[in-house]
Amino acid sequence: MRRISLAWLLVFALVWTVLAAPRFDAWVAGAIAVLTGVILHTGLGGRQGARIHLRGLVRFVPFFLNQSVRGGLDVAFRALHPARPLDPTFIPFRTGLPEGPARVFFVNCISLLPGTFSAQFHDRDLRVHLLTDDAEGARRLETLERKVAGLFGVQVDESKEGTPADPALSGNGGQRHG
Amino acid sequence: MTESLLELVTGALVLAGAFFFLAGTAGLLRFPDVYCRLHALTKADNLGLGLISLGLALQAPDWTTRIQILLIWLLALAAAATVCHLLARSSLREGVPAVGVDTEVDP
Amino acid sequence: MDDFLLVVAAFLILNVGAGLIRVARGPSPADRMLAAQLFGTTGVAILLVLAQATHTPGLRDVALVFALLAVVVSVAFVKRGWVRAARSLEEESDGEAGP
Repeated sequence: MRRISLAWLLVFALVWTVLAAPRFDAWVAGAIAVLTGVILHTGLGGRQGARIHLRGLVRFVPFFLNQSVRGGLDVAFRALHPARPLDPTFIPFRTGLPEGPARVFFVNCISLLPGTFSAQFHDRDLRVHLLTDDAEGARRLETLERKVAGLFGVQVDESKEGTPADPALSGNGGQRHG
Repeated sequence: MTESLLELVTGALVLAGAFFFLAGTAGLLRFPDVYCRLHALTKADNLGLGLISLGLALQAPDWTTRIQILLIWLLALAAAATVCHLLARSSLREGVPAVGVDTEVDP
Repeated sequence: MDDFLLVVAAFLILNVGAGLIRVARGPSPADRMLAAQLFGTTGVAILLVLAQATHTPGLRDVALVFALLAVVVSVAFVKRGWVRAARSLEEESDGEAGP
């Protein structure tokens, strides 16, 4: 049985206060919602050492916003361009982030950054869809990986040897027509 | 004076946001397969929502509303990333063909 | 300002309408489910704009529910909508791509 953290209880209560506005009659439902939230959060492993580092956050937010703008511009350009310039492919990617919140956060961020989204995710191995097949794709993923590591204060395990545990992720889907 | 300037900034941000929604829909209709279409919706629409949220936050009456708008945007981001991954994964599992990718192992 | 925002909201609704062409055409079930993503994000934007334009703060709560519903609907679809096909596929090749 995991212990429920007081800090998270406060966070959930704060979120409720913002969402419901400080109305006292809303706190009957609020108390139920906050308690359910904290219990689910704890039960789903929300406390496995996820500590956001402030310095990492200060670096991550501008990076994320900048990349979001570039991702939006990039896809808008391709969607509105008469020739619709696309060169999509799947690439395998092995993450060096430790198991837990950092890795899950990383996988989710991939889907919000320019030209990439995660399509499969098994242990350390990802299958990432690229809108344009270029060397940039993998490099951008590594940059994001470092930023996420900084955000959670964890180390990226650089040793990426070994074969993927799931053969579907080893990348035979990356072969190209013509 | 400051108020009308603020309205101008809001107007510009909201218009820019609307443009990205238009681009997202264009991509949804024009891109060749479900995977590329997911790109159009997740990236363009989220940027559009971010710009519109920012523009509206400038007009918000108080800080509670501003934080509320920020929370809604963050939640929409998390939702979009989750939905994108879920749809892509199940499309792959169901063998929905992808343009430019040979999903069969060569003979 | 309010009139301007109402025009923007109308434009976004037209956008969703145009997106429905993709839902009608498909071809794969996932293409149709893109509607969840479309309604999720665009719906949230429309509601936020309307909340401001009509001075109805309650609409922001609806926006919040929209974002959540997009996820719930997608999970339901992935778990149930394709469940029959998924079951037969899982037996031969779990998680593998390819027709």
